[in-house]
Amino acid sequence: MTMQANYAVSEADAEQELWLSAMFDGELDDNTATHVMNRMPRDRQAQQRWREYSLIGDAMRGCAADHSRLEKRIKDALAAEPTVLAPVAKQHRQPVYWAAAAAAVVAITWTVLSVAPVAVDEPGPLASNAPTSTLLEHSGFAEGVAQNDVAPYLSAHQDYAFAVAGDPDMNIRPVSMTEGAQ
Amino acid sequence: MRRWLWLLLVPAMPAWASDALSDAEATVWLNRISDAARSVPYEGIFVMQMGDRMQTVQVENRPQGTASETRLVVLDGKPREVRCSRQESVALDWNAKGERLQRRIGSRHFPDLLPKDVGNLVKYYSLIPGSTARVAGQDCQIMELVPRDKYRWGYRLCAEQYTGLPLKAQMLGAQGKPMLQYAFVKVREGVSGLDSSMRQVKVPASNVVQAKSPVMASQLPPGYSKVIAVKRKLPDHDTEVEHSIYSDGLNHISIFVEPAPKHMVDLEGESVHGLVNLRTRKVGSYQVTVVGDAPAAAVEMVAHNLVVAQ
Repeated sequence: MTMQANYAVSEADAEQELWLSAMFDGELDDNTATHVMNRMPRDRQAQQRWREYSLIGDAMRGCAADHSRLEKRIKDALAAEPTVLAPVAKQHRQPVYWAAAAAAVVAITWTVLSVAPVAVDEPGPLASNAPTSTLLEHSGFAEGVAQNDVAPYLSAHQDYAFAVAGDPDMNIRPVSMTEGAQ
Repeated sequence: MRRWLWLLLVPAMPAWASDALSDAEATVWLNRISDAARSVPYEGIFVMQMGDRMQTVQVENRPQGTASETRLVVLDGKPREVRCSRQESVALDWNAKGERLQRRIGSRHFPDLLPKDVGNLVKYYSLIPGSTARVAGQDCQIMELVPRDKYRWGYRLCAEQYTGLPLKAQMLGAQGKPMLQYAFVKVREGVSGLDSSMRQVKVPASNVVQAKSPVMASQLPPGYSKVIAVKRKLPDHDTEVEHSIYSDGLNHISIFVEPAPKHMVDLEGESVHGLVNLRTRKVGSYQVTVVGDAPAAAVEMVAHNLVVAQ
């Protein structure tokens, strides 16, 4: 391969980089987004690039990516969807709406992929430790004070449960818990 | 001699065994391990590791009828000694002000971690035999208690091959990783006579009294039941708190009830490695703190189902 050909390939790559990057950032206009969406299924290189971007994004956000599992979960969820026996009448929409909807789906999917914590392993029958209460703003809350406040309870509990375990380091947060009981 | 008869009772463990034992087989194994911690005379040194923390503890156990008298001495860090007997359990702490003696409301400690009645364990945990291992120079059989639901942490024990005494115990988190573990580094059967430093101590009058808590949990995670409820004084607290303990035999959840301060903040917390979870909330006119060495789902369920007792 000649230097000229290498340069041409690099230029094409650079162009691809640009529109893929713009796609990720949601900066493409509707027409271009439609064009890109149509091109993606036929362009294996672009698909590969898209996957790499996703991995880089996950890594930068500190998420352990496991897209195979995610894909499986999505497939399972789709399989579990109820079958529509009486579909609604097909509506004719302007192409621009389809393009906008496609762009929105891409943007939302990317956002979900970016912010959703990806399970490294299925927890199985064991519990997840993810807190379920709503977090409040930390403004004005001294975590050191909370740690001291809960220390006597921890000591009393640990003394019963373990005798010699000592008090654990706790991450304490103020929360708003819905009062389910009176 | 009676201690060795269990070898005939316990089903032979094939080397490839990795499936959960039947309830009957699991009951035999768990009963043996539970009994051994009390009925075998032993002395040794074990290490406790929780997260980044380690403690070395000297332990000696003297069987007394169906119960036993155990002494644990923490060898590093803050001096502490725990003595457990059939009648009572006390803890001695030493600080700048001198010796402080306190009654404990339970006598649980390593290696005596399993309850006397293992029926509940068989119901809520599967017992899976593992391979044989070597701990403190002695061969032991690995047995894993795997939770059947999301409301409890599991345990992996390594029981000494002939006596059943647990030589190692690990409390396992959601991914099966140890969050808390104990392991003997040195242990021998028998006790070499009363340690000269083990003087008799005068136990103070009980500073805890049985109590009926003004707040109760209307719904508990499956298998949990109330173990005890006491009224006690906590450090830095002006008023007494009601302390109730719920347990499934291996995991424990405490509920502390006291009058709510004027400006209270609901709190939630978890220990760095997830072993301990905590919730503080207001129920009626009370501040209730729920603490458990149990998964968040279990602590959450208790905290969200608290009601003022009628």
